[in-house]
Amino acid sequence: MINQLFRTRFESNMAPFIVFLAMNALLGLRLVVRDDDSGWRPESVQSFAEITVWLFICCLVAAAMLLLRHNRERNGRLYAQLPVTSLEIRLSYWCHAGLYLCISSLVLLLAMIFAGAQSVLAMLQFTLLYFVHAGALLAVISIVTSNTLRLIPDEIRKRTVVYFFLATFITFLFMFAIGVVIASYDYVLEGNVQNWSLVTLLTTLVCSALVALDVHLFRRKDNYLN
Amino acid sequence: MASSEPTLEVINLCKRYSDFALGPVDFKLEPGTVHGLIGANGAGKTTLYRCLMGTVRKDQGIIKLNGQPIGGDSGRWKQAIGYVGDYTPLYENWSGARNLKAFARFYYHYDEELVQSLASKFDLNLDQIVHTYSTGQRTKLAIIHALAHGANFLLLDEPTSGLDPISRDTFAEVLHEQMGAQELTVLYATHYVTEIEQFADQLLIINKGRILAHKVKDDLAQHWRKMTFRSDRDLGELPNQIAIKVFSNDKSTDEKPNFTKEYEMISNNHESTRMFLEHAGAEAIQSSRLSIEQICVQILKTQAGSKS
Repeated sequence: MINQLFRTRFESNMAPFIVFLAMNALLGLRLVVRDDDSGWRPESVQSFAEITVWLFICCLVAAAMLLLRHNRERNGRLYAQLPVTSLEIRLSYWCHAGLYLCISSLVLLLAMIFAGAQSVLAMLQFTLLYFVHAGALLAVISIVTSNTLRLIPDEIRKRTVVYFFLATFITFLFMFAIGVVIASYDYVLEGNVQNWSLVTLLTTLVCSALVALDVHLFRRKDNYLN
Repeated sequence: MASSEPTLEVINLCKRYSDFALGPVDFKLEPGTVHGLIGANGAGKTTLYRCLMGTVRKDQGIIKLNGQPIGGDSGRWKQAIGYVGDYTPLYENWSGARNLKAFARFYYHYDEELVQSLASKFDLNLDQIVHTYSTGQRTKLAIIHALAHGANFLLLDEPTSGLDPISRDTFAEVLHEQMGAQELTVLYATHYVTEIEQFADQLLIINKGRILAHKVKDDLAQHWRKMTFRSDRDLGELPNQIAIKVFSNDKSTDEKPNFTKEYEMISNNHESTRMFLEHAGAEAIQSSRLSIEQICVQILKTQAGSKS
């Protein structure tokens, strides 16, 4: 049924796909029309950072449109009438989102080949790193927008003082987590990390865990179609 | 599937929310029977339907469809269910035909001929974009979809809301035809009892999350009667009394006191009530039939009275 769900979802979501392709084509066009003398051709780390950020944006815009549509269909109980399970619904969503990730990763790989990067292994590793980074980001957005996470139970919400302290503490935890992420990026970008394979492995694990968490939350949600 | 096996069996089903609890609910629907589900607003009909469709997670209990427990790791059991709800979610930018074509992918069997024939009967333009459909047209599309995939169990939740009188009549005709063509089991929820009087073999009456009664419609119609009689003495609590009104009638003269009371009661077993009244010396005993709607209202009122 995942196959049928994916096909139906893909056909009903042509607009995000076209936007996504257009954004990627824009990048391709920019790479092709610039000649070597202008100095922009992606040879430097700075150029690749620009390309990667642009592809990230492409993915996020398309995924945001996809998520909005997905949430609307789910809230409208569109899937309730079909012989599918919540697991199949969420997995087909991830297959669809994965398609965007794959295409943007491929575009990145092509950009690196176009730039004439030396090592094939380094290119593949960088592509994989981009893929799992974008996947992790998408998983966080999916978890936040699709699953109503009740961090504080209703009983505590009614107790104003306890609720205030708990909410403050949770906000602090969030800020702390964001700080840790930014600090680790700084640490990596300053050239402190030599073992890129380890970074890729860790990011892959984080990405897989987040996607699994998203699917689990979606399945466990009490009234997921309403 | 053995034909003696119930199409749907609900055992000890419970679903609790913070402000409402459904259950425990137990009932069985035999193959080829039509059951009307009747209850007041907030009685638990929608929660029951959502549990049956698997769109809410039940807290406890077992639901068996064609002998197999529903849920689990596969949604295949929904192949056997045709569902029409009060609102029909669809792909809004697609035509009706394209929606049905997309839905058809999920089923092993999809009767294209029946789709065309029903669309023609309902006078529904399948080439029209769905977001321009009226509520009634959406319901018609849902009915077509529910019948086209060869389900043996129809779960209808106020299917005629939004339909005009002609379409309601066509729907009744189509349902009769389909029930004649195959062994369909139907659970039909509605607030309009008269609507299902013509279809239903049995009635399930639900209130405050509990099934109050699951009765054969003809038995209800046969046993429940409105009775009137006269008596000059207080008869107290009568057997099978559901509701009673007493009117005092003072015909006394200066010479002779003459107090008679006229009674108007509803009995759920008029034969035994009549025997009791004849023994008790009541006069002018008359009984008249009640409509199914009146019986349902009385059952619901009695429940509300006993709770208060």
